[in-house]
Amino acid sequence: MLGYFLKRLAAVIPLVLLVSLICFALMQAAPGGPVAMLSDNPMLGPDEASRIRANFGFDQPVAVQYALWLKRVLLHGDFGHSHVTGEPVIKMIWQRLPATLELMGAAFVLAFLFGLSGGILAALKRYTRFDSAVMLVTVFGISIPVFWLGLMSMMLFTVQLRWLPSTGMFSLGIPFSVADHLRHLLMPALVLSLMFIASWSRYMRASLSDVLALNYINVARAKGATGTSVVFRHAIRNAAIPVLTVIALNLPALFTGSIITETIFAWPGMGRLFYDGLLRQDYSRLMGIIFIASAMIAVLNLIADTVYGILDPRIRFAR
Amino acid sequence: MGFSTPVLDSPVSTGSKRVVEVHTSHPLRETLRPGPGNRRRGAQPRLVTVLKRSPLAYAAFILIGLIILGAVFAPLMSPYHKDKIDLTRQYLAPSLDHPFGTDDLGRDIFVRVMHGGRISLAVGFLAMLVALFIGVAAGGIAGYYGGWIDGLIMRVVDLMLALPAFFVILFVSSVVASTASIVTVCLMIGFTQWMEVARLVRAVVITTREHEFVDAARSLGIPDRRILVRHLLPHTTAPVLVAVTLGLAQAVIIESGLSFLGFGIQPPTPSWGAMLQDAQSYLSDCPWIAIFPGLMICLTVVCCNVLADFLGEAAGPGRSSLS
Repeated sequence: MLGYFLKRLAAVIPLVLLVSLICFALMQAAPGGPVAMLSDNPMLGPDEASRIRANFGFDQPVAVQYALWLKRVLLHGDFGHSHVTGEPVIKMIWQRLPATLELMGAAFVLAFLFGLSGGILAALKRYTRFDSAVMLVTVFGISIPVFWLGLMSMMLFTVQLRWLPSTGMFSLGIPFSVADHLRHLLMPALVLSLMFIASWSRYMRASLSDVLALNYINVARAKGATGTSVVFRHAIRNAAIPVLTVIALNLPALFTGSIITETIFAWPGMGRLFYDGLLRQDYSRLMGIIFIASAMIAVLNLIADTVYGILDPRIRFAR
Repeated sequence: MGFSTPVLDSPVSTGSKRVVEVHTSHPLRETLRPGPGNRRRGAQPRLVTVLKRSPLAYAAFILIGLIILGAVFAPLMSPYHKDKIDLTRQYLAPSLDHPFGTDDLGRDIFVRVMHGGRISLAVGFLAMLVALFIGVAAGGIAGYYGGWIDGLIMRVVDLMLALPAFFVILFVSSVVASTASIVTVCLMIGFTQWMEVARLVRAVVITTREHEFVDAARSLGIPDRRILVRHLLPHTTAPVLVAVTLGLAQAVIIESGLSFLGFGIQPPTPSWGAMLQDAQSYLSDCPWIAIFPGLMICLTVVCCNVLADFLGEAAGPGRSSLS
């Protein structure tokens, strides 16, 4: 198992390095930025401009600049300073990361509970009205874009029914309470999770009904195992393998989805930070976020591979 | 990928461990499976007759046809012009005069939604063409030649999959925002959506290249490129068709997401996403501004997903693209 894990890890590390190279290349290729600012500034003479360039290392060859940048990123987590707020980028990200993780986590829990239970029920009641209803709802669930769903649910729950607040993490002007916070969390989390509820329940249904048709299930039934025990002790274990892989592979999409959800609901997370950086062309902030996001995707994929290897020993020896 | 092998005598997919349940004699499989010797064109059932047997897929087919027709004939659908500002007719609720109401500048939303369909669907189709071209070329070459070429191409696929695509597209469009056009949006979406196609094509080509007819073609001295294009790639039609249909839905969603955030199609050009962006400010008083463009996105994507599911089930048993 450890060997398998190390092999996957060895595949992931060069990938992250390459992504960082692409990030750096994009940042270099983008117009504007600090170098352009220096040459455009009429108050600076050519001597001073070149001195500042030398101080920041901008006179070095691009390869050296990349190496220095990478060293700062890897050793100190230093993505430079935002040239909008002047704060270190890493500090801005650290401030916003918890909100994003909270939103993602809440959406994940909702999707996991409702998606899997919906899929299991649909598979057990296959070809009944319940099954068709679940499948019809899920077709729409995977098709509704998250931003429209956000607008529609705001319209329904905030404007029409006045049940839930539409923006932010807290109500302003009242002391913090967990209930108030959860009320703010509920709508964004539901909106973000719907697509995953739909997709995971479809996977669960397909996978479980495939497994239920296998011979070893018939054997278990023939030996007298009851319905529930067949499903939960025998079938679910095998049916869960592909579903868990899909869930792990979907985690990056959950992250991307939270970007849009955050911008709609003014949830102060990394998505909001990224969007703000886009509007202000704050490249070092954008690159920091893209790099952190791809590192997270890489780690999540590594977790997916590892989980897959634990659940299905054949995978470990296949390659 | 068992369903794509040219097995003519057995309807059961060979490479799959799954148990085949109901789809063993689906007529569309004959239509979609281009195996050698299976080219009895006269005997093929037409797509529409096959579609009629699945009410849901047939409805989706009709609906997407209507959406496309509406987009194509957009100028003929309504007496109003898409960009005509009429400040005497702001914020009108849906009525017979304006079936979808009017927006903050008094423009007719119905005609804008139809025109928006032109942009959104064109972007979807073009982006998928880009993705299809890159994906088929990369997957075909990787699968056919194998070895280090395969390794290199698949590492690029891994790399692209590791990139947070939506972020990168957003970043690039914010950089080129002033010069962004439909073409750049299509290229960006296409460049980030080809990996699935490449994987499918590669997998099919790898299994198919071991067959005798490929050896036969090779021993006849047919050049590699022709073997790949004429003998191997046709086998990828069915899975690629499914992937492309799903990809079209994905491209429409990405385009509208980009435009919704203000980094895609720029106003005043109507695209479904851009119209939704405007609508955000009028949610409480004029919900119709937000409802109709989004509804069109949903319907388009639902139709694509349903059709892809149908095609997937039809093309190969035990494989459901939606799930």
